Amino acid sequence: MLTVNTRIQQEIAEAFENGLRLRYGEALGALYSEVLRYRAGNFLEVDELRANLDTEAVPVLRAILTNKVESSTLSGIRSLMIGCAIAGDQEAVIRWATEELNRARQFGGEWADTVPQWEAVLRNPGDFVLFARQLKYFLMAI
Amino acid sequence: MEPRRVLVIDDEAIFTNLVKLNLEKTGRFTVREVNNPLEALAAAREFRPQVVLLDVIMPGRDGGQVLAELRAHEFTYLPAIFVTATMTQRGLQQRDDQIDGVPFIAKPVEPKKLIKRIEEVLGYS
Repeated sequence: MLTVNTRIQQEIAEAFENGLRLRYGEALGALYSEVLRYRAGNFLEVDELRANLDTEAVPVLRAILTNKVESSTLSGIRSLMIGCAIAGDQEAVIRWATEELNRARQFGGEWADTVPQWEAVLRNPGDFVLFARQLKYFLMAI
Repeated sequence: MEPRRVLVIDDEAIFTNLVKLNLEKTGRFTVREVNNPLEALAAAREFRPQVVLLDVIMPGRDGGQVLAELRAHEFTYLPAIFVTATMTQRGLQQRDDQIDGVPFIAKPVEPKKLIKRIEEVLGYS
């Protein structure tokens, strides 16, 4: 979990989130905002991040294989997609974003509202990966 | 020995091509590629596979649904190996290359490891 230690860090993160939504639109800005809060202890240490992603992938793959995809699975896929972006794994980002897009359409309701997010990622996954990594580097620097 | 029939289901043609190339050059396998999961059952009925290798996440129908469809028909006991690009080799190895007893292999797939895995699920080494 990304720990926001101080009130100032919290305020910076919130300002970032608002700015990202203004700059990149609601759909993509909302996803970038979640990158800031992605819960991985040491988010730019690749081995550790990959190990976390492997662990997180297991319940998601299990749910898909047993056809028991629930709202928590979609949250898991979302988290995995963001984590893979931070890890620089564009292929996995495309896979997860495609899966999330299809499932969000099937689920409907609030999940259907997230469809534009996944469409935005799939239009240019390379940019999403690059920007996600830059956001994390920047946040680490401050 | 007759070559073993392996059905490979993945929307990425480059992956199924490589699997076919690597397995068939051993002379021990014959491979049928399916790049549209909706065509899996028809292909299986024609090819009569002895083992199926399939991706988990595919557009239209995921690997779990495809296998369920095959097993609901005349392929009830067809052994399966799932392929995933969403976990690392290392992550799967730490879980004995399986999730809940289901054999898994991570992309990119090493041909030797794939052959070993197929032979394991076919019950010989």
